[in-house]
Amino acid sequence: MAKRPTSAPRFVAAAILLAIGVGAFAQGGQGSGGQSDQAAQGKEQPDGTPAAAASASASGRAGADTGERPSSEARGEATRARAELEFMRWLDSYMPGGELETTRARLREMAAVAIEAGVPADAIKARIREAVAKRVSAETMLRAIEEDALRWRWVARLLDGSDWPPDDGAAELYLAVSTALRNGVGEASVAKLIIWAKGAGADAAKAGAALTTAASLSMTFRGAGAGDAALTLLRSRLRVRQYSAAVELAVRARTAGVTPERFMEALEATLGRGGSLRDLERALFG
Amino acid sequence: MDDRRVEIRKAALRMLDERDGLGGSSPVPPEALPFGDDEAGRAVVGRAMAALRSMDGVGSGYEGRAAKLRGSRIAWLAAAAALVAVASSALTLAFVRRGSPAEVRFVLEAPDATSVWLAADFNDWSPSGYELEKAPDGTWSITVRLRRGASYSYNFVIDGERWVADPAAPSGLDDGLGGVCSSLSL
Repeated sequence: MAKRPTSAPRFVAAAILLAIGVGAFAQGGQGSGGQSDQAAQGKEQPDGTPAAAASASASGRAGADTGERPSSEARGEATRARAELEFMRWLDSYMPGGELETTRARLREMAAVAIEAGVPADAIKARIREAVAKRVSAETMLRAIEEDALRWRWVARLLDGSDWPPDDGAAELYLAVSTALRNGVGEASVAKLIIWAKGAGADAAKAGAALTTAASLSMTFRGAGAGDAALTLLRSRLRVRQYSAAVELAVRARTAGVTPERFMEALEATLGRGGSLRDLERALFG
Repeated sequence: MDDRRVEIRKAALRMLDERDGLGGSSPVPPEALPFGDDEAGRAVVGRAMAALRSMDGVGSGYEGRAAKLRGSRIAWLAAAAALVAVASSALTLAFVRRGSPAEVRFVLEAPDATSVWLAADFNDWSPSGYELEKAPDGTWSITVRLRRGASYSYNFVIDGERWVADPAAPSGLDDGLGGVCSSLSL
């Protein structure tokens, strides 16, 4: 008899757990990050490595030992070969005409190497579309895409055949990486973000948005770099829609004479520790 | 409820009378205490308990307590169910909201322009279908539905040939093609 009243809080606890479980399931379906996005970003190991990263690398080793890797590699090869073929067909239909043959040939070469390395063909297509729409010269287009392709191959090496990012968000992430690197964000910062996001299975669109925002922060301070702002933003409580407000604060800070270093310190000390934009504003302007 | 109490009281008094030999058909020896461990004591207790059990509503004290506990349990269950409902609704709402598109209004002040188009990564940099409307004050605008949770790059195309970044955006980004574009996070 006396136990019944004490069992009631258990019901409530079970209900809360159930609700959290339902939420986690829903968030998982979306691909997370969300901010509850942040909930899906995994716990860190004592050495700072995300838990999921440790698990992913462990499973990768297990795959090699059990002989699963060759078949997965074969599947990867087949997928890349198919993507390459589709890309070539797309390119021929998108850029028809004899006068573009030289440009097409160069693009084919670059794309073949990049796709072989694991770069999503959609990222290359997007840059070609942009260049064609902006009517830049063939030389400018080739140089830009060549530079991007180098950056993307570097990203593909970092990802090392990982399932992250998922296919539907991969091109966006690759494009964001090249935007970030082109606009002053350091390779080390980008690498940190990618490794962390991969390990935590973060929302690829959010990771891309964090990189683009870091690029904007860097450009706000005239290409001064953005430290680890991208990772700080991705791990912060901010929603993607609040990232623009962080850039607006950076513009205000620059106008008020705040140095880029001081801004990045404040960003890390506030958003990096679970703070809000208001905390960042207070840290910058009192 | 009061009648039941009276009945209980009467039964208890009868029981005490029996114990003290003051009533009932079979007097009880003084040494036979009603709760004693002898046969007479057990008989008195048995009769008294039978009388109590036979009375309507005598058990209501226990039933009342049980009903109270049942009520409390139901209340807790209802509270838990309500909590689950609220929590899952909030999560579903957040989930739906996150997947739902946002309406974004792009605005450019260009009183001398004859046409302004929006070209962005979300329309494959193809301005077709994204022409801005001019207001009498010379501002051009268009509202576009975009997916939340991502960032977008865009340019305005003035008179079909000038690609410009959004002057209202906090900063521009080098597009690697010799121009500058703007970005927006949703």
